[in-house]
Amino acid sequence: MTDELVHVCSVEDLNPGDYTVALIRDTPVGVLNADGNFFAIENQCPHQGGPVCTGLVRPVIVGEFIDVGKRVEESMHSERMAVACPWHGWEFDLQSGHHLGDPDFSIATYDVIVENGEIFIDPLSEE
Amino acid sequence: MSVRGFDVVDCDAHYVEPMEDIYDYLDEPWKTRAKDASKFGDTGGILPGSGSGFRFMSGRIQRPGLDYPAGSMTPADVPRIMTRVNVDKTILYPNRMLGFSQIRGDDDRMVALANAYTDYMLENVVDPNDGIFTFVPAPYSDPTEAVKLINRVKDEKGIVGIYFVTAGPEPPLGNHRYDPIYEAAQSSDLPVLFHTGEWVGIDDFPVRGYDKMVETHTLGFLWSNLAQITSVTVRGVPEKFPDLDIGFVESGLFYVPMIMHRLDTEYMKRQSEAPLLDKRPSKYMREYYYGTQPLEVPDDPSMLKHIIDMIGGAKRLMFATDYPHWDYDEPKIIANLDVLTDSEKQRILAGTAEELFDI
Repeated sequence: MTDELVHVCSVEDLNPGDYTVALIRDTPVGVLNADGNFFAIENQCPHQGGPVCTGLVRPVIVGEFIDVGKRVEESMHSERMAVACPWHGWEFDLQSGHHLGDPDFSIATYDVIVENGEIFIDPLSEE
Repeated sequence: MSVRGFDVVDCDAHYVEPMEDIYDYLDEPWKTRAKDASKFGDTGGILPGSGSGFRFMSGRIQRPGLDYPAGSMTPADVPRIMTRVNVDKTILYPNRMLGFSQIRGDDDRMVALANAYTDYMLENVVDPNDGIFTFVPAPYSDPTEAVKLINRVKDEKGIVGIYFVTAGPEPPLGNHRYDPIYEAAQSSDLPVLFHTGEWVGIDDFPVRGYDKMVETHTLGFLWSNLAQITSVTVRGVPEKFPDLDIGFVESGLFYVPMIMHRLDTEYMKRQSEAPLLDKRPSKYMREYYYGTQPLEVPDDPSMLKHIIDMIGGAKRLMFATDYPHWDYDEPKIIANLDVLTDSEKQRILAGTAEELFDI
Protein backbone atom coordinates (compact mmCIF):
# COMPACT_ATOMS: atom_id res chain seq x y z
CA MET A 1 0.00 0.00 0.00
CA THR A 2 1.63 3.23 -1.12
CA ASP A 3 1.32 6.56 0.59
CA GLU A 4 -0.57 8.02 -2.36
CA LEU A 5 -3.76 6.11 -1.61
CA VAL A 6 -6.36 7.92 0.46
CA HIS A 7 -8.15 5.85 3.04
CA VAL A 8 -11.91 6.34 3.02
CA CYS A 9 -13.54 3.89 5.42
CA SER A 10 -14.16 0.22 6.11
CA VAL A 11 -16.21 -1.82 3.70
CA GLU A 12 -18.61 -2.66 6.49
CA ASP A 13 -19.26 1.07 6.99
CA LEU A 14 -20.48 1.53 3.42
CA ASN A 15 -23.46 -0.64 2.65
CA PRO A 16 -25.22 -0.82 -0.72
CA GLY A 17 -27.00 2.50 -1.25
CA ASP A 18 -24.69 4.40 1.12
CA TYR A 19 -22.21 7.11 0.27
CA THR A 20 -19.51 9.03 2.07
CA VAL A 21 -17.35 12.01 1.13
CA ALA A 22 -13.56 12.14 1.30
CA LEU A 23 -11.15 14.92 0.42
CA ILE A 24 -8.63 14.52 -2.37
CA ARG A 25 -6.37 17.55 -2.37
CA ASP A 26 -9.24 19.76 -1.06
CA THR A 27 -11.64 18.34 -3.67
CA PRO A 28 -14.66 16.60 -2.14
CA VAL A 29 -14.96 13.15 -3.64
CA GLY A 30 -17.99 10.99 -3.06
CA VAL A 31 -17.54 7.27 -2.57
CA LEU A 32 -20.65 5.23 -3.24
CA ASN A 33 -21.66 1.62 -2.86
CA ALA A 34 -23.90 0.85 -5.84
CA ASP A 35 -25.20 -2.69 -5.51
CA GLY A 36 -21.97 -3.86 -3.96
CA ASN A 37 -19.68 -2.05 -6.40
CA PHE A 38 -17.70 0.95 -5.19
CA PHE A 39 -17.31 4.14 -7.19
CA ALA A 40 -15.51 7.39 -6.45
CA ILE A 41 -16.69 10.57 -8.15
CA GLU A 42 -16.13 14.28 -7.78
CA ASN A 43 -18.89 15.63 -5.58
CA GLN A 44 -19.60 18.81 -7.53
CA CYS A 45 -22.00 18.95 -10.46
CA PRO A 46 -20.71 20.89 -13.48
CA HIS A 47 -24.23 22.34 -13.93
CA GLN A 48 -24.68 24.56 -10.89
CA GLY A 49 -22.42 22.95 -8.30
CA GLY A 50 -24.79 20.48 -6.63
CA PRO A 51 -23.67 17.57 -4.37
CA VAL A 52 -23.78 14.83 -6.98
CA CYS A 53 -22.87 11.83 -4.84
CA THR A 54 -25.82 12.41 -2.51
CA GLY A 55 -28.28 11.70 -5.31
CA LEU A 56 -30.23 8.68 -6.48
CA VAL A 57 -28.24 5.82 -8.02
CA ARG A 58 -30.05 3.69 -10.58
CA PRO A 59 -29.24 1.58 -13.65
CA VAL A 60 -28.94 3.60 -16.82
CA ILE A 61 -32.12 3.48 -18.89
CA VAL A 62 -31.48 2.60 -22.52
CA GLY A 63 -33.78 2.76 -25.51
CA GLU A 64 -33.73 0.34 -28.42
CA PHE A 65 -35.36 0.92 -31.80
CA ILE A 66 -36.90 -2.46 -32.53
CA ASP A 67 -38.71 -1.95 -35.79
CA VAL A 68 -40.59 0.58 -37.88
CA GLY A 69 -43.92 1.36 -36.24
CA LYS A 70 -43.01 -0.35 -32.96
CA ARG A 71 -42.60 1.44 -29.62
CA VAL A 72 -38.99 2.08 -28.62
CA GLU A 73 -38.14 -0.52 -26.03
CA GLU A 74 -36.87 0.97 -22.78
CA SER A 75 -34.93 -1.12 -20.32
CA MET A 76 -32.44 -0.84 -17.49
CA HIS A 77 -28.85 -1.56 -18.45
CA SER A 78 -27.57 -4.70 -16.81
CA GLU A 79 -24.23 -3.17 -15.83
CA ARG A 80 -24.09 0.58 -16.24
CA MET A 81 -25.14 2.58 -13.21
CA ALA A 82 -25.74 6.32 -12.98
CA VAL A 83 -26.01 8.87 -10.19
CA ALA A 84 -28.37 11.86 -10.50
CA CYS A 85 -27.44 15.19 -8.98
CA PRO A 86 -30.34 15.95 -6.60
CA TRP A 87 -30.45 19.64 -7.48
CA HIS A 88 -31.61 19.27 -11.10
CA GLY A 89 -31.34 15.61 -12.05
CA TRP A 90 -28.19 15.77 -14.20
CA GLU A 91 -27.19 12.10 -14.48
CA PHE A 92 -23.62 10.79 -14.73
CA ASP A 93 -22.34 7.34 -15.61
CA LEU A 94 -20.60 6.10 -12.48
CA GLN A 95 -17.85 4.39 -14.46
CA SER A 96 -16.95 7.10 -16.96
CA GLY A 97 -18.26 10.18 -15.15
CA HIS A 98 -19.89 11.36 -18.38
CA HIS A 99 -23.31 13.03 -18.41
CA LEU A 100 -25.74 10.53 -19.92
CA GLY A 101 -27.04 13.13 -22.38
CA ASP A 102 -23.80 14.90 -23.36
CA PRO A 103 -20.34 13.45 -22.66
CA ASP A 104 -18.82 16.93 -23.00
CA PHE A 105 -20.08 17.40 -19.44
CA SER A 106 -18.54 15.11 -16.90
CA ILE A 107 -17.42 14.71 -13.33
CA ALA A 108 -14.01 13.37 -12.35
CA THR A 109 -13.83 9.71 -11.41
CA TYR A 110 -11.20 7.89 -9.38
CA ASP A 111 -10.18 4.27 -8.97
CA VAL A 112 -11.39 2.62 -5.77
CA ILE A 113 -9.16 -0.02 -4.19
CA VAL A 114 -10.49 -2.41 -1.59
CA GLU A 115 -7.85 -4.14 0.47
CA ASN A 116 -8.20 -6.05 3.71
CA GLY A 117 -11.73 -4.79 4.17
CA GLU A 118 -10.75 -1.16 3.78
CA ILE A 119 -11.67 1.24 0.98
CA PHE A 120 -9.07 3.51 -0.62
CA ILE A 121 -9.08 6.06 -3.44
CA ASP A 122 -6.15 6.39 -5.79
CA PRO A 123 -5.84 10.17 -6.33
CA LEU A 124 -3.46 9.66 -9.24
CA SER A 125 -6.17 7.83 -11.17
CA GLU A 126 -8.30 10.95 -11.65
CA GLU A 127 -10.04 11.02 -15.05
CA MET B 1 -26.22 37.33 2.37
CA SER B 2 -24.75 37.79 -1.08
CA VAL B 3 -23.51 35.84 -4.02
CA ARG B 4 -20.05 36.94 -5.14
CA GLY B 5 -20.81 40.30 -3.52
CA PHE B 6 -24.16 40.79 -5.29
CA ASP B 7 -27.48 41.28 -3.52
CA VAL B 8 -30.19 38.94 -4.75
CA VAL B 9 -33.95 39.31 -5.03
CA ASP B 10 -35.87 36.21 -6.04
CA CYS B 11 -38.81 37.32 -8.21
CA ASP B 12 -40.32 33.84 -8.57
CA ALA B 13 -40.06 31.47 -5.67
CA HIS B 14 -42.87 29.23 -4.53
CA TYR B 15 -44.62 28.59 -1.28
CA VAL B 16 -46.12 25.12 -1.26
CA GLU B 17 -49.24 26.09 0.57
CA PRO B 18 -50.78 23.69 3.12
CA MET B 19 -54.33 23.27 1.80
CA GLU B 20 -55.72 22.18 5.18
CA ASP B 21 -54.65 25.51 6.68
CA ILE B 22 -55.91 27.46 3.67
CA TYR B 23 -59.36 25.96 4.19
CA ASP B 24 -59.67 27.90 7.46
CA TYR B 25 -59.60 31.11 5.42
CA LEU B 26 -62.34 30.08 2.99
CA ASP B 27 -65.77 31.64 3.15
CA GLU B 28 -68.72 29.29 3.57
CA PRO B 29 -69.97 27.11 2.02
CA TRP B 30 -66.53 26.41 0.56
CA LYS B 31 -64.93 26.03 3.98
CA THR B 32 -67.24 23.24 5.04
CA ARG B 33 -67.14 21.64 1.60
CA ALA B 34 -63.35 21.55 1.59
CA LYS B 35 -62.90 20.44 5.20
CA ASP B 36 -65.51 17.70 4.90
CA ALA B 37 -63.98 16.50 1.64
CA SER B 38 -60.63 16.27 3.36
CA LYS B 39 -62.13 14.45 6.34
CA PHE B 40 -63.56 11.81 4.07
CA GLY B 41 -60.45 11.47 1.94
CA ASP B 42 -62.01 13.27 -0.99
CA THR B 43 -58.99 15.53 -1.37
CA GLY B 44 -58.91 15.86 -5.13
CA GLY B 45 -62.03 17.93 -5.35
CA ILE B 46 -61.00 21.47 -4.41
CA LEU B 47 -58.20 21.66 -6.96
CA PRO B 48 -57.77 18.90 -9.53
CA GLY B 49 -54.33 17.34 -9.50
CA SER B 50 -51.71 17.40 -12.20
CA GLY B 51 -51.31 14.38 -14.41
CA SER B 52 -48.14 15.44 -16.10
CA GLY B 53 -45.79 12.73 -14.95
CA PHE B 54 -42.89 12.44 -12.55
CA ARG B 55 -41.78 16.01 -12.04
CA PHE B 56 -38.98 14.99 -9.72
CA MET B 57 -37.80 12.21 -12.01
CA SER B 58 -38.78 9.45 -9.60
CA GLY B 59 -36.40 10.70 -6.94
CA ARG B 60 -33.52 11.82 -9.18
CA ILE B 61 -34.31 15.38 -8.11
CA GLN B 62 -34.67 15.95 -4.38
CA ARG B 63 -35.32 18.75 -1.90
CA PRO B 64 -33.83 17.65 1.43
CA GLY B 65 -35.33 19.32 4.45
CA LEU B 66 -38.64 20.01 2.73
CA ASP B 67 -41.77 17.91 2.74
CA TYR B 68 -42.07 18.42 -0.99
CA PRO B 69 -43.32 17.31 -3.44
CA ALA B 70 -45.35 14.99 -1.23
CA GLY B 71 -46.39 17.55 1.38
CA SER B 72 -46.48 21.29 2.00
CA MET B 73 -44.26 24.01 3.38
CA THR B 74 -44.49 25.87 6.66
CA PRO B 75 -43.82 29.57 7.21
CA ALA B 76 -40.53 28.66 8.90
CA ASP B 77 -39.34 27.05 5.67
CA VAL B 78 -39.24 30.38 3.83
CA PRO B 79 -36.32 32.10 5.61
CA ARG B 80 -34.46 28.79 5.70
CA ILE B 81 -34.87 28.44 1.93
CA MET B 82 -33.78 32.02 1.40
CA THR B 83 -30.53 31.14 3.17
CA ARG B 84 -30.23 27.89 1.24
CA VAL B 85 -30.48 29.59 -2.18
CA ASN B 86 -28.68 32.78 -1.10
CA VAL B 87 -31.38 35.37 -1.68
CA ASP B 88 -31.91 38.56 0.31
CA LYS B 89 -35.56 39.07 -0.61
CA THR B 90 -38.12 36.67 -2.00
CA ILE B 91 -41.43 37.13 -3.75
CA LEU B 92 -43.62 34.07 -3.46
CA TYR B 93 -46.05 32.53 -5.85
CA PRO B 94 -48.25 29.69 -4.63
CA ASN B 95 -47.89 26.13 -5.75
CA ARG B 96 -51.27 24.51 -5.66
CA MET B 97 -53.12 27.71 -6.56
CA LEU B 98 -51.41 27.55 -9.93
CA GLY B 99 -54.09 24.93 -10.48
CA PHE B 100 -56.56 27.72 -11.28
CA SER B 101 -55.83 26.76 -14.85
CA GLN B 102 -57.78 23.56 -14.27
CA ILE B 103 -60.91 25.33 -13.01
CA ARG B 104 -63.26 25.75 -15.91
CA GLY B 105 -66.59 27.47 -15.46
CA ASP B 106 -66.57 27.49 -11.63
CA ASP B 107 -66.07 31.19 -10.93
CA ASP B 108 -66.99 30.94 -7.29
CA ARG B 109 -64.33 28.38 -6.41
CA MET B 110 -61.53 30.44 -7.93
CA VAL B 111 -62.67 33.58 -6.11
CA ALA B 112 -62.96 31.73 -2.79
CA LEU B 113 -59.48 30.22 -3.10
CA ALA B 114 -57.82 33.45 -4.27
CA ASN B 115 -59.12 35.32 -1.25
CA ALA B 116 -58.30 32.52 1.18
CA TYR B 117 -54.74 32.13 -0.13
CA THR B 118 -54.09 35.86 0.04
CA ASP B 119 -55.39 36.13 3.59
CA TYR B 120 -53.44 33.07 4.70
CA MET B 121 -50.20 34.41 3.25
CA LEU B 122 -50.65 37.88 4.77
CA GLU B 123 -51.37 36.42 8.18
CA ASN B 124 -48.80 33.64 8.31
CA VAL B 125 -46.01 33.92 5.76
CA VAL B 126 -45.42 37.41 4.39
CA ASP B 127 -43.02 39.63 6.34
CA PRO B 128 -41.72 42.70 4.50
CA ASN B 129 -39.22 43.39 7.28
CA ASP B 130 -37.61 40.03 6.54
CA GLY B 131 -37.85 40.50 2.77
CA ILE B 132 -40.75 38.10 2.24
CA PHE B 133 -43.46 39.22 -0.17
CA THR B 134 -46.18 37.67 -2.28
CA PHE B 135 -48.44 38.24 -5.27
CA VAL B 136 -52.23 38.20 -5.31
CA PRO B 137 -53.60 35.43 -7.53
CA ALA B 138 -56.13 37.12 -9.81
CA PRO B 139 -59.39 35.11 -9.92
CA TYR B 140 -59.71 35.96 -13.58
CA SER B 141 -62.92 33.96 -14.04
CA ASP B 142 -64.78 36.78 -12.24
CA PRO B 143 -63.16 40.15 -12.99
CA THR B 144 -65.56 41.99 -10.66
CA GLU B 145 -64.48 39.88 -7.70
CA ALA B 146 -60.85 40.11 -8.77
CA VAL B 147 -61.09 43.91 -8.58
CA LYS B 148 -62.65 43.65 -5.11
CA LEU B 149 -59.77 41.50 -3.92
CA ILE B 150 -57.15 43.83 -5.37
CA ASN B 151 -58.76 46.87 -3.77
CA ARG B 152 -59.07 45.08 -0.45
CA VAL B 153 -55.35 44.27 -0.14
CA LYS B 154 -53.64 46.85 -2.33
CA ASP B 155 -52.18 48.79 0.59
CA GLU B 156 -50.63 45.74 2.27
CA LYS B 157 -46.85 46.16 2.25
CA GLY B 158 -46.39 42.45 1.68
CA ILE B 159 -48.38 42.50 -1.56
CA VAL B 160 -46.16 43.62 -4.45
CA GLY B 161 -48.18 42.61 -7.50
CA ILE B 162 -50.98 40.65 -9.10
CA TYR B 163 -50.40 37.50 -11.08
CA PHE B 164 -52.32 35.59 -13.74
CA VAL B 165 -51.84 31.95 -14.58
CA THR B 166 -51.09 31.87 -18.31
CA ALA B 167 -52.25 28.30 -18.80
CA GLY B 168 -56.00 28.00 -18.80
CA PRO B 169 -57.75 31.38 -19.21
CA GLU B 170 -60.21 31.34 -22.07
CA PRO B 171 -60.62 33.72 -23.72
CA PRO B 172 -56.92 34.59 -23.48
CA LEU B 173 -55.81 37.39 -21.21
CA GLY B 174 -55.77 40.17 -23.79
CA ASN B 175 -59.55 39.98 -24.05
CA HIS B 176 -61.46 43.08 -22.91
CA ARG B 177 -63.33 41.13 -20.21
CA TYR B 178 -60.17 41.29 -18.10
CA ASP B 179 -59.81 45.08 -18.48
CA PRO B 180 -61.22 45.86 -15.00
CA ILE B 181 -58.44 43.77 -13.45
CA TYR B 182 -55.74 45.62 -15.35
CA GLU B 183 -57.35 48.94 -14.51
CA ALA B 184 -57.44 48.08 -10.81
CA ALA B 185 -53.82 46.95 -10.86
CA GLN B 186 -52.73 50.11 -12.65
CA SER B 187 -54.59 52.41 -10.29
CA SER B 188 -53.16 50.48 -7.32
CA ASP B 189 -49.66 50.79 -8.77
CA LEU B 190 -49.29 47.01 -8.66
CA PRO B 191 -47.43 45.26 -11.51
CA VAL B 192 -49.14 42.38 -13.28
CA LEU B 193 -47.12 39.20 -13.71
CA PHE B 194 -47.98 36.29 -15.97
CA HIS B 195 -46.93 32.88 -14.64
CA THR B 196 -47.70 29.58 -16.26
CA GLY B 197 -49.82 27.02 -14.46
CA GLU B 198 -50.57 23.41 -13.78
CA TRP B 199 -52.00 20.79 -16.02
CA VAL B 200 -53.41 22.89 -18.80
CA GLY B 201 -50.55 24.05 -20.91
CA ILE B 202 -48.34 21.27 -19.58
CA ASP B 203 -50.63 18.31 -19.33
CA ASP B 204 -52.79 19.43 -22.19
CA PHE B 205 -49.95 18.18 -24.36
CA PRO B 206 -50.15 14.57 -23.09
CA VAL B 207 -53.83 14.61 -24.00
CA ARG B 208 -52.67 15.20 -27.54
CA GLY B 209 -50.29 12.29 -27.54
CA TYR B 210 -46.96 13.56 -26.23
CA ASP B 211 -45.14 10.92 -24.28
CA LYS B 212 -42.97 12.23 -21.46
CA MET B 213 -42.68 15.34 -19.36
CA VAL B 214 -39.45 16.35 -21.09
CA GLU B 215 -41.71 17.03 -24.09
CA THR B 216 -44.77 18.42 -22.33
CA HIS B 217 -42.86 20.73 -20.01
CA THR B 218 -40.61 21.98 -22.80
CA LEU B 219 -43.68 22.90 -24.80
CA GLY B 220 -46.35 23.57 -22.20
CA PHE B 221 -44.74 26.29 -20.10
CA LEU B 222 -43.45 27.95 -23.23
CA TRP B 223 -46.76 27.67 -25.09
CA SER B 224 -48.73 29.26 -22.29
CA ASN B 225 -46.51 32.31 -22.09
CA LEU B 226 -46.32 32.65 -25.87
CA ALA B 227 -50.12 32.48 -26.05
CA GLN B 228 -50.67 35.20 -23.47
CA ILE B 229 -47.86 37.51 -24.63
CA THR B 230 -49.51 37.42 -28.06
CA SER B 231 -52.99 38.11 -26.74
CA VAL B 232 -51.99 40.77 -24.19
CA THR B 233 -49.83 42.64 -26.69
CA VAL B 234 -51.95 42.44 -29.82
CA ARG B 235 -55.22 43.19 -28.03
CA GLY B 236 -53.56 46.33 -26.71
CA VAL B 237 -53.39 45.92 -22.91
CA PRO B 238 -50.25 48.13 -22.66
CA GLU B 239 -51.93 50.69 -24.91
CA LYS B 240 -55.15 50.76 -22.84
CA PHE B 241 -53.24 50.87 -19.56
CA PRO B 242 -49.99 52.72 -20.30
CA ASP B 243 -48.89 52.95 -16.68
CA LEU B 244 -49.35 49.25 -16.01
CA ASP B 245 -46.11 47.30 -15.50
CA ILE B 246 -46.25 43.88 -17.13
CA GLY B 247 -43.97 40.87 -16.64
CA PHE B 248 -43.71 37.25 -17.81
CA VAL B 249 -41.95 34.54 -15.84
CA GLU B 250 -40.78 30.96 -15.99
CA SER B 251 -40.09 30.29 -19.64
CA GLY B 252 -36.43 31.31 -19.80
CA LEU B 253 -35.37 34.10 -22.18
CA PHE B 254 -34.65 32.71 -25.65
CA TYR B 255 -38.32 32.67 -26.66
CA VAL B 256 -38.73 36.41 -26.13
CA PRO B 257 -36.87 37.74 -29.20
CA MET B 258 -38.48 34.99 -31.26
CA ILE B 259 -42.02 36.10 -30.47
CA MET B 260 -41.04 39.78 -30.72
CA HIS B 261 -39.95 39.37 -34.30
CA ARG B 262 -42.65 36.87 -35.21
CA LEU B 263 -45.33 39.27 -33.99
CA ASP B 264 -43.73 42.22 -35.77
CA THR B 265 -43.61 40.32 -39.06
CA GLU B 266 -47.28 39.37 -38.76
CA TYR B 267 -48.39 42.79 -37.52
CA MET B 268 -46.73 44.69 -40.34
CA LYS B 269 -48.86 42.67 -42.79
CA ARG B 270 -52.07 42.70 -40.75
CA GLN B 271 -52.00 46.01 -38.91
CA SER B 272 -55.73 46.71 -39.48
CA GLU B 273 -56.53 43.70 -37.27
CA ALA B 274 -54.87 45.47 -34.32
CA PRO B 275 -55.82 49.13 -34.87
CA LEU B 276 -55.35 50.04 -31.21
CA LEU B 277 -51.60 49.53 -31.42
CA ASP B 278 -49.52 52.62 -31.93
CA LYS B 279 -46.23 50.83 -32.60
CA ARG B 280 -44.85 47.41 -33.38
CA PRO B 281 -45.53 44.64 -30.85
CA SER B 282 -41.83 44.24 -30.12
CA LYS B 283 -41.64 47.82 -28.91
CA TYR B 284 -44.33 47.13 -26.32
CA MET B 285 -42.55 43.91 -25.37
CA ARG B 286 -39.28 45.77 -24.79
CA GLU B 287 -41.09 47.55 -21.97
CA TYR B 288 -42.18 44.32 -20.28
CA TYR B 289 -40.17 42.53 -17.61
CA TYR B 290 -38.99 38.94 -17.77
CA GLY B 291 -38.05 36.40 -15.14
CA THR B 292 -34.80 34.67 -16.07
CA GLN B 293 -35.58 31.12 -14.93
CA PRO B 294 -35.05 28.49 -16.26
CA LEU B 295 -32.11 30.29 -17.84
CA GLU B 296 -30.74 28.82 -21.03
CA VAL B 297 -26.95 29.03 -21.06
CA PRO B 298 -25.61 27.89 -24.44
CA ASP B 299 -22.08 26.62 -25.07
CA ASP B 300 -21.32 30.04 -26.50
CA PRO B 301 -22.55 32.44 -23.78
CA SER B 302 -22.28 35.39 -26.17
CA MET B 303 -25.53 34.10 -27.70
CA LEU B 304 -27.24 34.71 -24.36
CA LYS B 305 -25.81 38.24 -24.31
CA HIS B 306 -27.33 38.87 -27.74
CA ILE B 307 -30.67 37.58 -26.48
CA ILE B 308 -30.53 39.87 -23.45
CA ASP B 309 -29.68 42.83 -25.68
CA MET B 310 -32.54 42.02 -28.03
CA ILE B 311 -34.97 41.88 -25.11
CA GLY B 312 -33.90 45.32 -23.93
CA GLY B 313 -30.99 44.69 -21.62
CA ALA B 314 -30.47 43.90 -17.97
CA LYS B 315 -33.01 46.49 -16.89
CA ARG B 316 -35.81 44.30 -18.22
CA LEU B 317 -34.70 41.16 -16.44
CA MET B 318 -35.35 39.82 -12.96
CA PHE B 319 -33.56 36.86 -11.45
CA ALA B 320 -35.77 34.01 -10.24
CA THR B 321 -34.97 30.73 -8.55
CA ASP B 322 -38.36 29.01 -8.84
CA TYR B 323 -37.31 27.06 -5.75
CA PRO B 324 -38.34 24.44 -4.68
CA HIS B 325 -39.42 23.38 -8.15
CA TRP B 326 -37.44 20.81 -10.06
CA ASP B 327 -35.78 23.15 -12.56
CA TYR B 328 -34.79 26.01 -10.25
CA ASP B 329 -31.78 28.28 -10.80
CA GLU B 330 -29.07 29.24 -8.34
CA PRO B 331 -28.10 32.96 -8.28
CA LYS B 332 -24.62 31.99 -9.43
CA ILE B 333 -26.09 31.27 -12.86
CA ILE B 334 -26.19 35.07 -13.28
CA ALA B 335 -23.24 35.94 -11.02
CA ASN B 336 -20.90 33.68 -13.03
CA LEU B 337 -21.86 34.99 -16.47
CA ASP B 338 -18.67 36.54 -17.87
CA VAL B 339 -20.58 38.16 -20.73
CA LEU B 340 -22.27 40.54 -18.28
CA THR B 341 -20.72 43.44 -16.38
CA ASP B 342 -20.99 43.53 -12.61
CA SER B 343 -23.50 46.33 -12.93
CA GLU B 344 -25.66 44.24 -15.26
CA LYS B 345 -25.43 41.26 -12.93
CA GLN B 346 -26.53 43.31 -9.92
CA ARG B 347 -29.36 44.83 -11.93
CA ILE B 348 -30.65 41.39 -12.90
CA LEU B 349 -30.05 39.79 -9.52
CA ALA B 350 -31.82 42.49 -7.50
CA GLY B 351 -32.05 45.96 -9.05
CA THR B 352 -34.89 45.43 -11.51
CA ALA B 353 -37.15 43.67 -8.99
CA GLU B 354 -36.42 46.19 -6.26
CA GLU B 355 -37.38 49.03 -8.57
CA LEU B 356 -40.39 47.33 -10.14
CA PHE B 357 -41.90 46.10 -6.88
CA ASP B 358 -40.67 49.01 -4.77
CA ILE B 359 -39.05 46.74 -2.17
